[in-house]
Amino acid sequence: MKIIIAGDGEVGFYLAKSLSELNHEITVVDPHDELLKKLESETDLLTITGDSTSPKTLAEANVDNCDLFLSVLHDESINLVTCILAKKLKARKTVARISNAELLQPKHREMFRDLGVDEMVCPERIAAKEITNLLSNTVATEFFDFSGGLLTMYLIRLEEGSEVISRSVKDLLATYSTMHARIVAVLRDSETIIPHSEFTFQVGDLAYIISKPNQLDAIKKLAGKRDVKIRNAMIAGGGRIGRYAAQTLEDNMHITLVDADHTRCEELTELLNHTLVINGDATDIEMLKDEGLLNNDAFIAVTNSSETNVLTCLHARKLGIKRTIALVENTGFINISQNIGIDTIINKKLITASYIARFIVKGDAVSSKWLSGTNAELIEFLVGRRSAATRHSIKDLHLPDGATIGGIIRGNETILPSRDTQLQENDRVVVFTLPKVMDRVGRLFD
Amino acid sequence: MSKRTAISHIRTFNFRLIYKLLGSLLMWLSAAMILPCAVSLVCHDGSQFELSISMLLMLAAGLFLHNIAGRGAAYELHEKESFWLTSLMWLLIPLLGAMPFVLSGSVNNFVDALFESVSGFTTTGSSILTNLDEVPRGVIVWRSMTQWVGGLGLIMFIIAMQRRLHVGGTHLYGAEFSGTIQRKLNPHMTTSVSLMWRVYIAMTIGLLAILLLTGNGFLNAFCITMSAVSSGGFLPSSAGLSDFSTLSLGVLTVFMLFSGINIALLYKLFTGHFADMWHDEELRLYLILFICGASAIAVSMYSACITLPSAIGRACFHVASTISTCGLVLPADTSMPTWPLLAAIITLLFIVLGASAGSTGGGLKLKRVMILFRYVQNYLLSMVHPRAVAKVKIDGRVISNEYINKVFAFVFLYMAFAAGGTLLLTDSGQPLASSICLALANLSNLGPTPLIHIADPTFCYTALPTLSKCGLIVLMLAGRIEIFALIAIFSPAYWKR
Repeated sequence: MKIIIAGDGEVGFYLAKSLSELNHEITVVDPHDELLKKLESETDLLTITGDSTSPKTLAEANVDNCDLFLSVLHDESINLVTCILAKKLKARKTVARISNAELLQPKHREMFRDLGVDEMVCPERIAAKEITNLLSNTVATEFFDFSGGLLTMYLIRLEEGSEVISRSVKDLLATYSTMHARIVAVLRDSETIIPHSEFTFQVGDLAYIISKPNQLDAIKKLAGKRDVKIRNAMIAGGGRIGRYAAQTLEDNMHITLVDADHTRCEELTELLNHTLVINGDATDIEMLKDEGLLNNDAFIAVTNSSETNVLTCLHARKLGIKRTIALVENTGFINISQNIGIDTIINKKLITASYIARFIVKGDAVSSKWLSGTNAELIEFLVGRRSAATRHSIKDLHLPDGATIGGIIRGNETILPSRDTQLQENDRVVVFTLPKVMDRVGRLFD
Repeated sequence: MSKRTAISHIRTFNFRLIYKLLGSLLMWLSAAMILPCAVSLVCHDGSQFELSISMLLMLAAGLFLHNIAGRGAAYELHEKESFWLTSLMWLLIPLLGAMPFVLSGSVNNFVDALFESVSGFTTTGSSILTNLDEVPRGVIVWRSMTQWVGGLGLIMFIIAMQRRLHVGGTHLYGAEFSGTIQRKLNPHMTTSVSLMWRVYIAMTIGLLAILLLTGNGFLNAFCITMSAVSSGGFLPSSAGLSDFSTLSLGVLTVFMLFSGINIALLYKLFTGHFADMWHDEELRLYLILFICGASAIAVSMYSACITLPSAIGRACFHVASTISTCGLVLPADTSMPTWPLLAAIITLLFIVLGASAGSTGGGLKLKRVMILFRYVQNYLLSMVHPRAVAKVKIDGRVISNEYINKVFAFVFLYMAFAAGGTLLLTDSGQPLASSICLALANLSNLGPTPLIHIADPTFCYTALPTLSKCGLIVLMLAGRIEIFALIAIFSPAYWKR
């Protein structure tokens, strides 16, 4: 697939790197010459120095020949203009990164389509949504719904006392044959493992579990987790993520929002209705305690500094806060943060990439989720007419190593497949896959 | 050199325009007097001559001010002049409006006439007339009409009529409604105000039509309509509301309630933007207060031996009349000799709170009360959380500190005027309880309320000493133009160069 990325920093570069690893033809348009040189030396792609709002630069990047145009600069108005220009210059599909979530409202969608902006992604909004989801479901470290909740993926840390510890997959399949959930992958010491039948589970494993709806109670028991109801939450950092999170949460729980900038605090009081806005530095733990940190069930650190977020979360964890979520922009930190005990990491780049990936995967990918801490991906495919996958039962499909079918949605019915299940046209298949085999998997369903 | 330039920046006070605007307002008022004259002719009440003279006097004064004193005025109006015009107008118009009372001999002296006239224009409704049935009908009609003209405010009349004022209209609006902030209905001030007038007129015609259809005589229906929609409160005859049917009284309750709602919101009601109305916090508070107050008073009346349906009906009418600062009073129920204490206390509270900002009613205005309440809430919060950043918000919009200061200043002045008025009235021999009620009722432009008669059942304004009457006139004016305009022109800083 020919992809042009207009960017001015990390998100664009991250996307460019991850997409070029998937063998797409990537062209990066960026105003910073120096950064581009560095990128080109590290990755196999084409770079063009210039302004993405200039038709000449766009023509240079062969916009008329591109399948996907991503504009992910920081300034949303530049992104919108770039996408409009790209569309007029015959780009097939355009995606703009935006920062004002208001534009995402369904009633504006048609208007932006007409203008030439096919899709919009607001990383801050998605991150905030992730936070709300995580607070409403305190068992899982991460979770993701497919097909409107017919199938759900949970990432759960296996605790002491879990029923699956030291048992093999074969053993478990026999004991829990009636259970509507299945472990599809395990993350152990930064390594992604797709468990074979002799695999045994250990305490501290992060298990990816695919489940039918309403199985959470059973899964909780399985993983040795206890549920916590979140009534009070403290958010450190009043940037867009903090603001959107507070906005969605403030009606259901008591939110305290801490930001160091007084002017920003004043703006926040205008935007939020029931949130208590505190002007103070989040690194000052004594101050946080003064403002009732210990009364909170959850602590969410979303300041601009990943280090601050990780450290304050660790501190909160040590003080006994049940749930901590940290925004970590530095991808290198993600593994280590999870190992030292922070519940959940959110990363804007990953989120944006996750979202954008659904436009990229070959075959008819309906939705996809890039998982943090692993390079694996969960993709929902629509099985096409005459696709190779419908010809044999699963055991004869020769799925590549590093890919496994987690679940099938047929109409309104959810099927957890066995080796003898036969795929049909129009099935939606959720596949857990490592990047190296992603293309082969895609071809199978095309 | 610096001195010269400094002087050249000082604009001369634009008196000419003020005269011109006053003149035009007077001419309109004299035109409005055609109606009382006509009524007088039809009813043969013998006052047509006096009314015509008043009309001609007003016309002459208007012509003089408009064409001679205000000749060649530049249409440029700034804040300073706006305050002056507002205050001058509220003094001059009631003065000329008092003429029919003096000339027709309905009152004994000039102060009484002025009291009646000010009470009308400020939509207070306190009346000095003791035997209404002996007063010529024409004068009664004029008295009712003064309320209607004053209902939206005399300034609003000028703004709607003088399209050439442009931004001056905004200054004028600010001078009269110094306490209310709201978005204009239209980018043009003149058009916004015209839209408000349309709502006001539509309400008037609606109520008049319903009252006529429910079988009331034209004169009675007309005068009561004027009293209700303007939140005035004058009664046209000594029989009062006793010959009104239950249905008519129900309709009156609803319209009185309307008169206490922000006119801009009523416009939204007429244009079908119901969601906007419901989202308005002030309106919600207004309705909640009405329902709670009416229920509480109904219960306390029921326990004071009135039948339940009658208690509910009376309570609703009374609360609507009080909270909108309308001041229409039902004839006393003989089975309830005195008002229950709870009902009296709630009434007093409502008198002080008053109606919505931007309505025809008076009082502190609910919006101001909400702002103060939230400010205090934030203050308490900041004692627990010293680092908390909190702002006062109404309808999701932040209220600036500058505006909050203004609200505090207003409340202080309101209390000061109330205290001063009470002092003056006790000094003239009124019992303290009724002095407080009188001062507050007149300052809030409520006027008649059963509360006045609790302490002194035989009270009437005629018996008050002249000084007290003058004091009440000042209270009524202050309440109507929200004090600031009145204070401003008397402060030395205003006249300093």
